[in-house]
Amino acid sequence: MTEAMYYVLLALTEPDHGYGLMGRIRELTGGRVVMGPGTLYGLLTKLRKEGYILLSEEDNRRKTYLITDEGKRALLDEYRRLKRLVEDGEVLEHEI
Amino acid sequence: MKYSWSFHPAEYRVRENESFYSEKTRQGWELQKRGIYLSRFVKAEPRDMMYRLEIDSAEPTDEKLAIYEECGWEPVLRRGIVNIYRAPEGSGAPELYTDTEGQLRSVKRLLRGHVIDLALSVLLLGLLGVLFVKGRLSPGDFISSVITKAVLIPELCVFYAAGLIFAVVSELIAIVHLSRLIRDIRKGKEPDRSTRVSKPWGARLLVLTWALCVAVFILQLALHKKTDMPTVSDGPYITLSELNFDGERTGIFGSEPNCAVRYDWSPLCGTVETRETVEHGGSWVSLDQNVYDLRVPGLAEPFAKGIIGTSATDRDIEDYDEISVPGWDKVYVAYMDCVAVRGGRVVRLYMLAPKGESMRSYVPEILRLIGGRGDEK
Repeated sequence: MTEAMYYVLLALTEPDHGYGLMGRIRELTGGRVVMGPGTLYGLLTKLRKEGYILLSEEDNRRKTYLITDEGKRALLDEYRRLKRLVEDGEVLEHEI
Repeated sequence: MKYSWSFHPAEYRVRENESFYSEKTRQGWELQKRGIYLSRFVKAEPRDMMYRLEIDSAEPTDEKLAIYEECGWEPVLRRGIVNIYRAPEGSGAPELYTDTEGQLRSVKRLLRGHVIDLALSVLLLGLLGVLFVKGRLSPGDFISSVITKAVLIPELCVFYAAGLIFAVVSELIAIVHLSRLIRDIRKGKEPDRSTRVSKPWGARLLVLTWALCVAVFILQLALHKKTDMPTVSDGPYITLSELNFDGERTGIFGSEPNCAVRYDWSPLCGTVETRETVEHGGSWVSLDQNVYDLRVPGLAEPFAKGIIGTSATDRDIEDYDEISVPGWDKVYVAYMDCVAVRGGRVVRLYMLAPKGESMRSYVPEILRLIGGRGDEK
């Protein structure tokens, strides 16, 4: 899972639409991750195809998405994997 | 409304296109339409805008456009697979693609197209080469077509070949350029948006060549003339009556009379072609004359050598004998075909002589009569 995918899934634990998502991701990361609209649109299409998110509302041109159970599982797996990585790296804190 | 047109950089020069349109907008010309080689601009207040090209074969969905617009990117136009967006400079609109994969998608889409075009061009060029080598199109046919007909030739192959070679070279340049771009994106190198826009000379040359070909073609159509053959020659040709074949004009093997004179113009050559058949002793005598007046006399001999052996009956250079006729530089005769040179004039005769006779005995007389006829024109 790429960093961008991780944050999109994380942001979609609450329903949101394209532009709103970009703001949320910027907020979540303290402005560290700024996602371009092309990148975001590509990810939304891909994640939907893979069944990780679903269309929860459609209002004219604006589509609102929400994470699925399968998406939640994938996100949690990734979270646990990343946490392991961080824990494994904790030895560094004592060394330095 | 005030419009202007400019050549834009080729599609594969993605960054240069973006800088090009920004520069134009800064000068007060807003992009309105993009064609194959030219873009149309409309006069407006100068402003600082950044442009982005996105290459995508799929038309953008409403949802995509909504996201782009909310981020500050205004869709300008779509042509073919090129989508153009713009946003005010310094508006804080984020780059369209912030991930490597997304940035690569546009470039790879272009690369794929160019690789396919290259393969097709090479294939066609190879096919042309095979035709050439197999003798379906002999070098003689080639040379005579180019000189006498320029663009109005049945074997447009010379132009195809030149066009295909041009295509292969430009596709290779495009592929090298795109491969470098892919390498830079993979390395995470910041795109160089300050790139000075290079002048699209290739496109200009191509358009100019096309325009020239079209102009020549129109001129040729305008100057082409076909008339029934007059009873008395009024051009650089003879009538069969001058050889004392006074029979009635007819078509060969008794078909409809088909005696005509055609005039053609080309940049390198003026051409007069005649066809005449008359009844003679229960049979027919027929004479076709092609008279080429080359504007560069030095071309006459190589041109004559080129058309030798391309007649319907005499296909082999070995069949031709060189004979000497007063007033003519070179004369080659075969069974029914004769090619002769006199200064910048090349004459080709194709004759069905009376039964039991060969055309050879008529050649000196025909050539003497044609001589420099029509030169005074």
